[in-house]
Amino acid sequence: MTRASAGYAIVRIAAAAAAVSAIYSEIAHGEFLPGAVIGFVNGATMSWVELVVIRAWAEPVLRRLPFLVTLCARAALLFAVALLVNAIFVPLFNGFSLAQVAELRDIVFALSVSLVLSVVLGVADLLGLDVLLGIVVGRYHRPRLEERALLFIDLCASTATAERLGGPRFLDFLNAVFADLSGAIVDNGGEIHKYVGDEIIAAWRLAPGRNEPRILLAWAAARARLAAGAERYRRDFGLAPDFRAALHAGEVVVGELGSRKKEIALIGDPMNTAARMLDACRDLDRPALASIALMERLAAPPGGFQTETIAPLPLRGKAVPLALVSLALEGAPAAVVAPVCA
Amino acid sequence: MRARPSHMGPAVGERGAPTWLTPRLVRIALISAALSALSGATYGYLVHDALATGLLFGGGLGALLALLEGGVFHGVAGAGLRRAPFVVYFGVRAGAYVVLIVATLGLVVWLLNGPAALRAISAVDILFTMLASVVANLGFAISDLLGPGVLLSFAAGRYHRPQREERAFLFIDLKGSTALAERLGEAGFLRFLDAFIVDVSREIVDHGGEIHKYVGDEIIATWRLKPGRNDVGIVRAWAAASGRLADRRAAYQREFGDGAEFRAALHAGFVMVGEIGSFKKEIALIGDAMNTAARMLDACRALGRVALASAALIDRLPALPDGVELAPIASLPLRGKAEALALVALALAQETPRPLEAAI
Repeated sequence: MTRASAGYAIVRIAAAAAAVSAIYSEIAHGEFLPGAVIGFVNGATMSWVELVVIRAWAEPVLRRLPFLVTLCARAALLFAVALLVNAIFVPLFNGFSLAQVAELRDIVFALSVSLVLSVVLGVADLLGLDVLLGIVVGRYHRPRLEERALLFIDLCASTATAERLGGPRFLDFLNAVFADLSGAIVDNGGEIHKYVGDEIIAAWRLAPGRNEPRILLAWAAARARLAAGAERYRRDFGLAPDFRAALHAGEVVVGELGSRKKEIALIGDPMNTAARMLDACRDLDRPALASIALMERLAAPPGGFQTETIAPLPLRGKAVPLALVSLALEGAPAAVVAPVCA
Repeated sequence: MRARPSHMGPAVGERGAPTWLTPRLVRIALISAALSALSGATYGYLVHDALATGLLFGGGLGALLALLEGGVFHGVAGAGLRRAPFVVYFGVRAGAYVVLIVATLGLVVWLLNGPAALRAISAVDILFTMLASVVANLGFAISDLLGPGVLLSFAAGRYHRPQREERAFLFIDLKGSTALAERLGEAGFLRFLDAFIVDVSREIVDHGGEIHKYVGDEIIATWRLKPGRNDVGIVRAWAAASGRLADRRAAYQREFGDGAEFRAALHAGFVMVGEIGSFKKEIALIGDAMNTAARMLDACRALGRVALASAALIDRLPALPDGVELAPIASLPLRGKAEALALVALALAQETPRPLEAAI
């Protein structure tokens, strides 16, 4: 997450926490102001801890822990922050008195809030935050037509890698790669739509007109992360991962699917086309292909991106072939990705 | 065992137990009674200094709530409620919990101490009831999003270290999906797919399967296998899903102008099962058996069969359910394998109308 968007998120969360805590303070103590102030500081500190400390610093450690341990660790951390903020701010309002700092109902309130938050965040980790919010709010209960930018990612040589590493090690490998790739996607505002075998499908909502080229930035960040981690991967697994990517945009129908297991499905031509582009990537031996339909919807990316127009891709059942560019990062050779992908 | 369960009237299994009373539900009922007794005892001890009362009341309520779960949410109201928006689903559930708990509490207090004692029920008691109902139902509702068993597996850390497991696989592929998508348009196709998945996955879950994944218009379901022969419901689930879609053919035709049919591949083998992902987590199944099952689904299409089952699976089942017929076909050569895969084709026997007594 960029510094600015993290700051914006922290202020929003702090405002929400201030509101909740003001209501609690009014009911429990008969005055809303201390609750609002303490809630705001608490919300700001908690979200800073979540977004900056946990996401950026403790995430790799937390990710390796079992779900329930992560959940408890997070709850304990949030609870500790709440107690600390309380201990500092309550004396400001009431003068120092230990009984008031550690009143039982306040502690129970702080504990419940920490628990509920960590459960919600834990579940959001399972489903993806956007999916959880989308289903809870009922946004896609009636299917909607939405314009999305799509990023399809396919690991190179995964069959050979699976054979070489064997089952459990291959899962570890996939997990490490998926963590790097999805970090790059989520940091740039994308949502992970689905894992299909060794493929990742990510999506961005598009506003009318030109959009920030976050999908390109995500792709570049993903390449950079794998390049930066190449040594670590070689040490741990004996090979460095690489991927091919297809970037496309178009209107898809978004809707809830299923009853015993629910997900938000994306259905439409652009999904099939993007899958077809990924095949073309392989056939043409390019690291990434982007459709003109997508590029026309994006503002010019910052320097460092090279695009090369290539022959349009004929699609089954379509009269007009798909106009494409091949995408590369400056300094990286356009045709050959890496030995492992060749 | 009959291949096709009855969809007429109150369904009763052959052992006389109601069909909704599945082992899974009994397990849930026991867990619910235990959890409820535990929280009742904690609350009773902390607030009213009455540990035993809280324990008994909580345990009894847990069993009662499990009846509500089984009879209503998994029984009569299950299918309709599951398709409502999440907030409605969750609200109705939590509301029913609160009403049932408060009513039971009132009744018990009345019976033990007379009507005057009702005043002793405090706002704190009601608040605790509401909180407990919300938390419990949040758990249920989220578990429903992830699919049966998935939330528990994550919570227990069962696949945090990858496990090698033997599983039976049912791969299901909607027939004619490209043509359907073109004819119905994308939104219409999504509704069709949703109805199809709801019908099929209901039979999978009722027959003890886990829904692993939806991939486009495919459903992947699995059953855990123990060593030796296993009486798993995979073939019964396939037969019941085919039967359900045949029964509902008229309804599909009315709504979409076409019935739903599917192809299926049934296979068994070892896979690695492990958690995968960080911002979105899944339980992944990795292994040859998955690729082989996908390959069998292609073969189904190429050979024009409704279902193919591998001998590897059939050998692990005690017997085929009544009403399912089996025809040996040529083995399927697989890329990179020396030995071809031995296969049989499955088909439903022509149905004879069932005597009414058997259905009730």
